[in-house]
Amino acid sequence: MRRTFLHHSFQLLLASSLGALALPSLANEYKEIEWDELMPEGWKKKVILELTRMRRYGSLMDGDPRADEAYEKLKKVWDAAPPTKTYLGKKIRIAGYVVPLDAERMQSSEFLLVPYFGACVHSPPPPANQIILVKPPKGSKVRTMDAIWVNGTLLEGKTNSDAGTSTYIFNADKITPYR
Amino acid sequence: MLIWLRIAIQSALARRGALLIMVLSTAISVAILLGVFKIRDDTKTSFSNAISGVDLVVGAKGSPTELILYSVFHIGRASNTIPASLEKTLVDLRQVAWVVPVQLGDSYRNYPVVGTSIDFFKRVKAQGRHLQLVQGSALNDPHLFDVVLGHTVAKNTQHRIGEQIAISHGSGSGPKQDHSNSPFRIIGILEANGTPIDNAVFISTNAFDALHDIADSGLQFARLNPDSQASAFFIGLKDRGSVFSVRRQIDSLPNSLMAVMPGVALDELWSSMEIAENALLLIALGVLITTILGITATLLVSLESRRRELAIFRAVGAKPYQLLSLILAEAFMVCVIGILLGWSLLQLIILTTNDHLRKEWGVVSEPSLPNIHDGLALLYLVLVVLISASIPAIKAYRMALSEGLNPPS
Repeated sequence: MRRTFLHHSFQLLLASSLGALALPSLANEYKEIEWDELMPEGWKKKVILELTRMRRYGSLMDGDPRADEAYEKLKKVWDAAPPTKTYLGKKIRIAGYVVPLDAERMQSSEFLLVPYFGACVHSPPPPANQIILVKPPKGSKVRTMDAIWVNGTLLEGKTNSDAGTSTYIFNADKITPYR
Repeated sequence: MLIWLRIAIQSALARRGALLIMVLSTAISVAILLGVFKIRDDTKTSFSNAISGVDLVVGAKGSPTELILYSVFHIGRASNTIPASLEKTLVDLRQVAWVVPVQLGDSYRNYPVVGTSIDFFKRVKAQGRHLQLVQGSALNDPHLFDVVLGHTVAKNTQHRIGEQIAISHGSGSGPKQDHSNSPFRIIGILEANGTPIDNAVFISTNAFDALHDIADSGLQFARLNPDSQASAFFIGLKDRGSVFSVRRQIDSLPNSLMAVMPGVALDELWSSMEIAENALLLIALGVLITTILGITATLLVSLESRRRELAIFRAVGAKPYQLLSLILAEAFMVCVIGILLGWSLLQLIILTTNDHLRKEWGVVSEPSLPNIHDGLALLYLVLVVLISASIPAIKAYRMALSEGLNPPS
């Protein structure tokens, strides 16, 4: 019972409203996926377990050293979130929000795709496996927190064993506004 | 046909005072209209051409937009500086690939002086390309007083490689305490890239510190002292996807730092400018409507005074459509001459003020031919003027002959 509850809140936390709004996938070569599916099953279970353990901190006040410690721990887990192999090298279609990386707007440049609105402003940011580095096709123009659909090929990002961070790289073929 | 042209010109000459005022008012309205459009376009492009390749800009806690405006566009002033020694701390952060210091606050003939390291030329990109030198070489560390000039600076000051220049302490021109005792030597000139880099003068951070030491104490220049200050650091990451994580690490350092994602900050600035942009469009629309109303009003009044003239034309056998085309042709000419005059006026204003605009506002504006946008607005202006001119023209066409010859007093 508790587990289902947590699972739900977890999904709510990460998968964002976008996933819930996603239209049924159309019959084309790009498989439409949800953010939830980018988390490896094993890791998801581990995190849920972790979160369950943390639930006993629920009554702690802000600034409590135990709460800070738990937060630090969570941040480490977030940064080290591994990618799932399921969709690597596959053509997929996913909806998300834009976080631009460059101050330059004349040419299209790389940006990050995140699952929920405001991820660039609010902390904590999403786990590493919920951030996609998008390499857009030429001529596409996006702005901060635009909601978009991206079609393309998902690849594994640079894995840095030292930091443990790994992300997805997404070679985008097509970017369309989310409707 | 020719005779009608002559009559039209003679008639216009007879009323030259009123017509001149009509042309002038059209010219001024057109200049304002095109000016508003130009300001809108130029601010947008000026801000779209910023640096790329920089993942985070680190500065003292404060407003992110201000930090980006100052460190990237060299506009405004820094709210606070941060210790230059932090560079080491930042380099040591996981995922950080490179750190470039940016020191600002000094100027050379009104052009901002940027104190930085050799890495600036290797790492920072403009228009998606690495910085290119037209001549000479980039900064190299052993030579303390080397200077690299941005393209516009070199063009406007006519400096050449090997020339020695004196960089002033503080910003602004005029007789400041200039550092004539610290001879900087130009070693490189950058290629134009349409970014704020074009308008900057680059020196090494050590030289920047030395400049201040000399100004403060008159001592010979010192080495990089531990309490030297930087305005900002540009950071590049090994993996761009880890930007959130690195930003969080920097934010939680004890030095009350702020790490800003340049793209996000620029978009924030953008959305706040959207209001101003819309306001400018509204103003332009207002100007357009006023212009049209003004021209129509003047036409109506002038027609009232031309009643007798038109009636005489009718009396000597002019066909109604000839009167119609006479009036419309005049309105058209007034409009066209006004537009040409207004456009020239605007180009003149841009030519005389673009230096100031660039230095004070960071907006690059060059004289240019009207674009499609301007052309449409002008076409619209001409069409509406012709339509509104046809109202008095039709009135004249339908006016009874006797009524025109014996106007009510």
